[in-house]
Amino acid sequence: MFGQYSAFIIPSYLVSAAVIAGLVIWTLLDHRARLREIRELEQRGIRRRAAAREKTDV
Amino acid sequence: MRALFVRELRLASRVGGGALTGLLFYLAVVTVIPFGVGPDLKLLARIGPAVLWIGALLAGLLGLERLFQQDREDGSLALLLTGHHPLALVVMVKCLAHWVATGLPLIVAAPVFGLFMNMSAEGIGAVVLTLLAGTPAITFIGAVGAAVTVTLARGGLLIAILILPLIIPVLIFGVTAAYGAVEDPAPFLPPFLILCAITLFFAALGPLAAAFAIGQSAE
Amino acid sequence: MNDLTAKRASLWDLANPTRFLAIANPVIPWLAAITIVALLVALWMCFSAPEDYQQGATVLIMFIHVPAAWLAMMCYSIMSASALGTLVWRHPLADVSLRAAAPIGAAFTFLALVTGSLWGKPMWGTWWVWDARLTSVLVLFIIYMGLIALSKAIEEPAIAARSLAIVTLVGFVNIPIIKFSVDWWNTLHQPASVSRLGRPAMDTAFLYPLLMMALAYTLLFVTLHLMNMRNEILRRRVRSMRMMAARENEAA
Repeated sequence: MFGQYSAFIIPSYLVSAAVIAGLVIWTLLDHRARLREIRELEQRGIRRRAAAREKTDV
Repeated sequence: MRALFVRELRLASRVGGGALTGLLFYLAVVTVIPFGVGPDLKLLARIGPAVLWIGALLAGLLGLERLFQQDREDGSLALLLTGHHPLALVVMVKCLAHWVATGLPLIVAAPVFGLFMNMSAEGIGAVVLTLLAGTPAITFIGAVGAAVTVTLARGGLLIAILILPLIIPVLIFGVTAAYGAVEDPAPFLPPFLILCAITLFFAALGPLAAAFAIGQSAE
Repeated sequence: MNDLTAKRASLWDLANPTRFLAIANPVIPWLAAITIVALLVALWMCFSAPEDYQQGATVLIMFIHVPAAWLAMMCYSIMSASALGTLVWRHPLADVSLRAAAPIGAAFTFLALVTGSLWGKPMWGTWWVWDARLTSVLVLFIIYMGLIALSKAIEEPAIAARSLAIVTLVGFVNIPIIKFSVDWWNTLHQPASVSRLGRPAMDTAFLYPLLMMALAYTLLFVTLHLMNMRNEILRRRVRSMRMMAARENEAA
């Protein structure tokens, strides 16, 4: 598709896409895992100090 | 301050022979090289300065871990923190003592290793001179790594990873100056002076940053 | 910790990261959408650009190589600014920003190296030359990895934050020296010929796609950085909640 250089152009785009996609997926998975942890902890009745203050102060 | 210097020296020469370990490591590195590249004396003479420098660099990195670890374990670090001398000065003195205890032996041994590498007398002299000017920089900048990892049980490898990229300029100018003394068209003085400048710069930057790191982590 | 500092710390916790989340949460989807559009436009522009008379189609690699290299450097600047924020103002978000940026910076540096290598093979005939620019970027990559290793190694968050900040700043001070020494070293050893081929003055036909791609990459960086900062804040929340739980268990 890109003449004689396709063997270099296609891999460079593939690698870039893979690394960026990996970064995005890792970030999203990380986000999900943290949210799940927080939900679990909250279900066990644990609250952050700051959140507890918000409740009691108001 | 002189008392501190003497104390540091005594400690360094006592504790399990840190200087000796570094020296043996240096010997091992230099010995391994010919097995890797072959016993061609001409080639060895050509790469000699570089090998001596890299060996000294690695051996210097090896001992850095001990710079503050010991003091932290026996609590004298806290004592130095509360003392009335500025912490950066204390770190500076510790670095100098550490260099005298572990760096100088390497430099003294370098001529012998230079013979192994079939180097000329001039070349050996140049390497010794550049090592003398350059290796303090490793200790000074290494102090930052040692200070930052002082809370870790096994920080040695991490120090090496953090410090090696920062040390590249020292290696470049050290080896370039050493070659400059032997090979004709290459200059000796400019790289040597830059090497001295880098060492002085690290002597200012390293202890300050290391003292800051220690002060912060002690809070 | 006495009562006063505890109170202050909790106020900081409340004020900054929470406010940050309140702003970041609605912004992130929009930023992500804009980034995707920008990336698509940039890609379209790149592939519709004419072939360079000298580099041929490999100019296509330049379009993704240059922005990656550019971001590799920008990311380190942002990390250094964050390090200053940690050390001078003790701002809790500064450390979050530093930590969140490190893996992204490492990834872009890696991309710059790989795509540069893939460009170098057809243009220079070799995967790697010890060219001043390449070598400096490689050193930058090692520094990034060292910082990531350090951030993983130290458990105590406050000490980790300051240690990271100090090493980042020392690295920042050193980068010009490294660059200079590599340049010097390179002019001594360079067999010449390679560097000159490097980058001819660019025609606008290539400049616009390149700038567009740089913009898209920058947007991508900002989005990822914000998302990573959000994760880091949540990670800290989990940590402090776990500690609360442990304390309550002890009390009970």
